[in-house]
Amino acid sequence: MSAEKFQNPVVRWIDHRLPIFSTLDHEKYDYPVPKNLNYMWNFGVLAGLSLAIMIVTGIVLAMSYTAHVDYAFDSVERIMRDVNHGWMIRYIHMNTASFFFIVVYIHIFRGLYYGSYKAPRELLWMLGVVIFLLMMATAFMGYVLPWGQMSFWGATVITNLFSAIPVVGDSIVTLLWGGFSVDNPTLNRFFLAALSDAVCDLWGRRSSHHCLAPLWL
Amino acid sequence: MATSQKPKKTASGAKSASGTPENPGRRDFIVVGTYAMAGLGGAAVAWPLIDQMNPAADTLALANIEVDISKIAVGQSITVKWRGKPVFIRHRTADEVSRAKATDLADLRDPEADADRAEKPELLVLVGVCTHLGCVPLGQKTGEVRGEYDGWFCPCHGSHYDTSGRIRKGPAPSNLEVPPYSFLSDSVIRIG
Repeated sequence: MSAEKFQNPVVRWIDHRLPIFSTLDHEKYDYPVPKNLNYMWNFGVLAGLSLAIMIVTGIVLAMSYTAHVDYAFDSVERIMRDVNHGWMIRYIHMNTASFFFIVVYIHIFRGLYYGSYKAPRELLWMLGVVIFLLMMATAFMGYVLPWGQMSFWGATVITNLFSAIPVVGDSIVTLLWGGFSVDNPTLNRFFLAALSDAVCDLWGRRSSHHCLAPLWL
Repeated sequence: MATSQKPKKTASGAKSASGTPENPGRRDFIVVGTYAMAGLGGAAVAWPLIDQMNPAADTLALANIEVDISKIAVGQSITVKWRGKPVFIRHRTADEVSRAKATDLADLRDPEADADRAEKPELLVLVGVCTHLGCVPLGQKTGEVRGEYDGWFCPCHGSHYDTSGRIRKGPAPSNLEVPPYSFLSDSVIRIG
């Protein structure tokens, strides 16, 4: 794009072949923002930041967590007591999840109040709805991982909801459980799904959402 | 801090060349100070995320073990687990000790006197991992092959260790490692 901006020859060499520096420059300095915005427009950025923190702390926690019904709870206790700064990383992870939702609700409120869903931003809004649903699914699966009482019964209730689907409901529930109740297969797949969902799916959709948003500013 | 000049309009984030003419240093100082604080902040955030990969408290607790050696008979060897590795503890016979001491250091690939390897000559403490490629040498249990020098024999590539755990024949480059240990009493040693 505007590689003339950069004087450093190494930067120019890279940017000419992969315009990462131009892109970052654009994000930080040139980002077109009309002057009639207010602080309600901060919350999208904060949501992205919360997701980034969730991913980083989540990956770090996954290094010490064991996704098996016999070991899950103890592995979380080990994180809290033995792993260096484990308690802090766990608390950051679980509380950032709450902050993520708070921030997203305010972000949604901004969209409703200011009509950010209206033409030509309909698809942007729909993408946001998808992200919201994924957030709820990921957060739900993450909550199951410590394998406490709330984890188990929450998983049981929510997965049982699918039995309301006529004809195939019970088969779907059995498929989700991997058995006849929430048990080890369920825990295993929830762990993988929560982690991969957050890292790949959520981050990818958030990036599309973020890149679309300024097109009409 | 206030100057009589109109504040210059610079592009947001762009570093001004050298501050305003009257106060060349102040803006530079603020900018450098900000980057320094940002750097410190970044390091403070990054450190716990990296340090959590270091050995945790439960791993460190197993870093030292105490072993009761009073029950090891003369000529007997036991194996204990220390930091995930086997440790050979042998109560050597007088004959084994004298052979170890009598060895000419010039014959050794990794010259080391027996006195430097065993604090009390009758008790030998070694890490039971061959220094070649890491197999566990034979020689601990009665009836196992001990090799030509009556110490230990590694079946993987044929390294022979003597009664002091020193390499005598075969591909291993150095002697069996002596772990840090100390006598807490005549019957208990602490390894690590």
